[in-house]
Amino acid sequence: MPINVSELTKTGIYQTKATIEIIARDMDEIDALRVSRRKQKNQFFTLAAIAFVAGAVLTAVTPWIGVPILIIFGGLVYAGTMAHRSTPEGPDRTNLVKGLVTKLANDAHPRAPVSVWISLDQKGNTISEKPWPVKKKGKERRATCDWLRMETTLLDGTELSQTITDFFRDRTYTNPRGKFKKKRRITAVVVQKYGFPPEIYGDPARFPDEEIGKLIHLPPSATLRGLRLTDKTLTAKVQVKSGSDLLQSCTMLSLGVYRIFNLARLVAQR
Amino acid sequence: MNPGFKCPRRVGFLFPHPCDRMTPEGCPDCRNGQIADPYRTRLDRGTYVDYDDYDPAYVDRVAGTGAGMRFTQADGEKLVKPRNRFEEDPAAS
Repeated sequence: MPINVSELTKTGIYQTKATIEIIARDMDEIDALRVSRRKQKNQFFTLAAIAFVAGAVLTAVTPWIGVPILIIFGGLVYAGTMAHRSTPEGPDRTNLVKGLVTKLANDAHPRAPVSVWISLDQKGNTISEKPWPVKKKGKERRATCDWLRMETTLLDGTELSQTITDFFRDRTYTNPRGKFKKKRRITAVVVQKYGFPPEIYGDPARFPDEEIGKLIHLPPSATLRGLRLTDKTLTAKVQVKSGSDLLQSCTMLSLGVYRIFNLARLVAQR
Repeated sequence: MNPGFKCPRRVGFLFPHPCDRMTPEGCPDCRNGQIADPYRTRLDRGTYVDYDDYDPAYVDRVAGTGAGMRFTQADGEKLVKPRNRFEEDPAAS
């Protein structure tokens, strides 16, 4: 089933329960839609610029031709703006989802349903907004954006759920040359929860907390913020400061968790 | 494709499980049967070198037993109990 383009462009949300293959294909479709809308927008604005110049010149010479061209200019600007507004944002998010499902394909059944909810919203929900006195006309806004929820069952029967939340710090100010500047810093928080079958993995909760964390390796920009084990679940929380490390952080966290599980399984068998 | 073929190799990224391909030809895991243990020899696990092995001293500290801590082929087969789960479940999509 093709993606619901109008819903996606209106709400910025994609959600489905489908196989890995379908989700990967949908991410490709969203990427293709983004490219095509950007191309459309550029074409409209280029034509608008030509119409403006032609209209301005002709209005001075032959207004009965020049004025309609200026009206066309207005229409093209409107069409370009609409194309811009309906462009799905967040290419890094669709790429990340593609990367995640590609890795999942190694350990999940090809027909296993995966529930995915993605928000492509780049604004987030404001937590605080205050002046930033360090710079002229400085303002600082902090916001949060839950943008990924993913759930599936792996081949070993483990129920995996994963969420990603972005924390934005937007700073706007005017530089000494009078130019408006906007800077954004994003910190992502990844939470992975594994509901594992105790009959396979035994009781990893009996391992000492200070020791099992050592089995999880993460990229330099990522930090393990929490690891909680019960007799049936493991929940891990990681903070990632560099967007380029996000996929690697998710993958390495999963590998680390399974280092714990695989060890627990070996211990349980012996 | 050989209908009676059962691949003896272990595959998987996070944990080992049996390969369910009908032939090693064109297999991206064992590369046409050239790799004996694709799970163990994967190179895409970043800094997790020797992913399948545990330091016996560490295991001793964590679990109190360090001997023979390595998966076998049989371990991989036993692990995947819900192998046919989705084929057998008529409600599964």
